[in-house]
Amino acid sequence: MLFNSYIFIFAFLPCTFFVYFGLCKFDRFVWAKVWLVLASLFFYAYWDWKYVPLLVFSILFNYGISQFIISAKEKSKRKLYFLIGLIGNIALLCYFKYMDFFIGNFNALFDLHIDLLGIIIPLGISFFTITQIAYLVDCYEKIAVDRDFVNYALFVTYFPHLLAGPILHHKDMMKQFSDKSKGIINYENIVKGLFYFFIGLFKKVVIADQFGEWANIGYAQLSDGNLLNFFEAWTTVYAYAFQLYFDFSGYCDMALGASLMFNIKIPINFNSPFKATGMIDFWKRWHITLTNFITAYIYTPMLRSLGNITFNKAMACVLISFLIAGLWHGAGWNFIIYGLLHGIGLVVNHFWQKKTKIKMPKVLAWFITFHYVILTWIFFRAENLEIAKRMFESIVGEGGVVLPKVAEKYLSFDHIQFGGTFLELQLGFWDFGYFAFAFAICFFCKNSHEIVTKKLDTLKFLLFLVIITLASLLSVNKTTQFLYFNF
Amino acid sequence: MTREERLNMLNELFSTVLERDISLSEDDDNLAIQGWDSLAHLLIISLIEEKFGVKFALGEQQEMYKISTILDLIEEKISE
Repeated sequence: MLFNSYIFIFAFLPCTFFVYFGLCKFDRFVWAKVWLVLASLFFYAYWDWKYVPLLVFSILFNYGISQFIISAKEKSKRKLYFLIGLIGNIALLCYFKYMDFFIGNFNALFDLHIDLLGIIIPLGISFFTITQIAYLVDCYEKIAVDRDFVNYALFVTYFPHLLAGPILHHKDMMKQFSDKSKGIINYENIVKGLFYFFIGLFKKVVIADQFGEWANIGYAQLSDGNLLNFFEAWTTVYAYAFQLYFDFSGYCDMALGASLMFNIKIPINFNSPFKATGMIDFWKRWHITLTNFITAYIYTPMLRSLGNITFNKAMACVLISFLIAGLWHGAGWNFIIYGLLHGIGLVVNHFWQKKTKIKMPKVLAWFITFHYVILTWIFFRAENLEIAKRMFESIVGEGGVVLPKVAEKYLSFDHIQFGGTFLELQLGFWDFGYFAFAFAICFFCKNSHEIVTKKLDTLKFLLFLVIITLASLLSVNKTTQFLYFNF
Repeated sequence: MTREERLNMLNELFSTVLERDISLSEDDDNLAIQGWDSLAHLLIISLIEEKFGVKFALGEQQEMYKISTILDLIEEKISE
């Protein structure tokens, strides 16, 4: 089920909400949580009920193996069960996500023609797998305390985060699930929750999806084997940048908001990443819970296993960690390159900070960071390396330099051509205003977390909430998926 | 050792890793302190483990981005 659908907003959410709090009111606290688990499974099943058994199997397998880990008397046994759990999860992910990628590469390497399996990636598998891997690590290290099965099932299936994160940490979540005081309706949380939800919806359906249309046109042209002209190429690059930004920001807000209505706080996953003035800063703002997971469960053990910690070893670990992060996003060489580029960007940032004493002006640092990131996103968006290559050729002008027709009145030089931007679509003055509008929001406005800490009982806030709610509800006609569902 | 003495110890450790004089307060976190990135975090934790004679699980290390949390965890470990 999608957050941005009428069925979610007007049927699923209110129904789940009222039954949950109804059960809490009658002191049926455990039943309320069971209800949430069932509702979450229904939410998942709405996409494809055939994959619910997989999700259930994953939960039972991990809960079971964690029980073995915790009750093991000897360290060697504990390690064995942990490794079984870890390998089991990775194997599941490999089969459903990477099998065809492996086969494809195998074929290319050995000149074979093994048929691809055509496996469909179950929604959210990347997320619920790594969430549970983190849980197994914590069981192995003896810091997983809450062993209640309903809490565990809820922790994994909880619908606000099930499909695309944030990656939750069990310690914080189990504590909240066990807190009976959370079963009382809290009107402040509902108002904040609605605010987050509708501002997220607005970002998704009014902003992201519009940019998505333009980005799709540009990339479709590349798919057809053509290049884009210079202006079209950059328009596409910026369009996709704003699409991905507002899509993910919107999703994170909606997840947070939906959860807050149930008095459950999930972590902030997005914090104005386009304001970042360096790659390190960027990853502290973009997909924050993923950065935390990679740092805690991949980077740290990797670096510690290499003996005494040196700067160079740390940099190698950053590179490898981000290669893995890239691959986690998708089974393709474009994602591996994406990860590698981010790893390199981070290493350069670390080097600059530690090894040079040169202070870069903030505006320049921001400019470089922003453009580096959106250029790496070409690999994120392009379906394969061939298309990415065409985009890079286009952005340096190999497809010609043609400025939009609308600018002809204002500029005229001998050698500049003027024509339509994108053959089917003549982007006009107001369309470019959309870019300016999006730009202004990303760089100058307070983000949702900053707004929500202010006074909420003002007329200004209420009016703002009503406007974005109406605007977003009116635009929820074309149901488009969130981009992060692909991972 | 009192909590304040531990905080002073942390000042020393942070100052060593970040190569400048640091005076911490309980509310400080990795967003407030310049240079407290993933590498610094690891080095700081290694020093804390050494100086206080404790060990932190990976899951605990990812919570230690706030000074008050670090102090709470140290206290917890020492009293175990």
